[in-house]
Amino acid sequence: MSKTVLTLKNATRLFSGGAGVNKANLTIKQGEIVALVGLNGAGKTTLMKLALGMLRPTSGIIQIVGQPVNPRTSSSVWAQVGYFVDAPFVYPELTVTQNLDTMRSLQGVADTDSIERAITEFNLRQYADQKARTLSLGNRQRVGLAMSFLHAPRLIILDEPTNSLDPSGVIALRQLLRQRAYEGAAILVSSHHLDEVARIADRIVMMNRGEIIGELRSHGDDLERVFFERIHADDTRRGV
Amino acid sequence: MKQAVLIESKKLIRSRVGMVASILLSIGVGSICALLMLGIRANNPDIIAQAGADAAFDWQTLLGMATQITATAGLLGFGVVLAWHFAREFSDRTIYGMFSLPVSRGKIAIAKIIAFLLWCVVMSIALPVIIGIVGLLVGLPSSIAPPVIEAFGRLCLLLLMTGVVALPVGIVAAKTRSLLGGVGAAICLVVLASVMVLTGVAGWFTPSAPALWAMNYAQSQSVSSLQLWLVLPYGVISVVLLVALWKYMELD
Repeated sequence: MSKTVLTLKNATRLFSGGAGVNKANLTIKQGEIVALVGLNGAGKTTLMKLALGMLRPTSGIIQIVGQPVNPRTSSSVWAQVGYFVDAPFVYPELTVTQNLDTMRSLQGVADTDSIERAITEFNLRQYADQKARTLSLGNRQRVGLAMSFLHAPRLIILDEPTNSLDPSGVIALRQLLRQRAYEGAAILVSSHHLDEVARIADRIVMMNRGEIIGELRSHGDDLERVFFERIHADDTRRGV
Repeated sequence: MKQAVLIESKKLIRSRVGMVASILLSIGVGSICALLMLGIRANNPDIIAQAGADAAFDWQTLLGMATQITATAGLLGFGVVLAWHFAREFSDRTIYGMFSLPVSRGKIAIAKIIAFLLWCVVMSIALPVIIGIVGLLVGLPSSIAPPVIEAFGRLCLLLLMTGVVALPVGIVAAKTRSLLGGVGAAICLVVLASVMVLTGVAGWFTPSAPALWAMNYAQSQSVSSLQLWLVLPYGVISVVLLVALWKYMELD
């Protein structure tokens, strides 16, 4: 039986302008790819930030491998997490290899071959000795993603990872996500591209106005139509 | 922790800001001193008037000028570097990568402070060495009297203490998450330190104390040992606040 890697129970984060995330319940098991979809401002990034301890919940429980997420979460828990949120963790004054080595050191990975593997997986060979400031946005994105996968994490959280990637990068990422899920990683990924998430996700979770409003079937339906119908129905229920 | 210190040191050394600040605070100050000494040697009345009535073509004058320039430029220079050191994580958006790591953010903040203080130590050695070279190049005697050696030591200590008194700039930069906020704080600190000198109680205003001590060492209005030792608790409190701010930060 697959173990639960990420759990959110009634996770709520209130902002002065209203709820960022309201009573979110979500579990992700090992080997599972879960996609978060929703319109801009739906709360996808806030939910991911809560899961990563970047924001503290106003109420509710968040756990990674059964351990609560808070400022005292042990380093052994974080060592099992890889993520990409907002922007690549890339220092412009360092080369691609040096940037990857920075993450390797911070993650406490002794195996220096992990850098070579990441360079190969994300097709960064020709840029390996180039300073990050000279890279295109797409290649910086590749470096950031390579950092998320470098230490073979059990939980991978990616916020709109295909933004700025070219088609070959999107395909490579898709293959890598499938491979990591097959190897047992739990993956939470957000995207605006419904067709893209439908290709990789085992479950597609919909968010609207800070709440999880249900799941979409990843096969069979006309996703776009169903997506907007659900959003419209939820807005109507709320009277907005 | 060792890894975090190495990473932060590497980032500081390889950055343009770190490089430019190092050059300005060592070769820049050294060059200004060299030009002024050459002016004094050539009996340039304007430069002699600016350098003060006691100005002479000797080691004491050279070190006095270096100390005076460092007292003001050092606080600003160290402040700008410290502001960038913390604020760049927000402007480069690399702060997102500092969460959810096996190395806690508190440790990363400590590593940043250690890297900065190590850089201050390097600068506190580099500038006196450059001033020594400048002195020899402009033709000062190679035999150095004990008071001159003491003055070199004071310059070295002044640089170290200036690094410590600049630490609150890091707090402002981290709190405002902006380089401008940090640089603004550095300028405020320099202005406040100067104003406090005019009020006559600058010895008790810790950001002013090291400069006042180094510049007025031979005079009766010099700073007391107690006032100078206050730099230590001031630094510890700044470090504690900075680490706590970094540790409990949220990214909303």
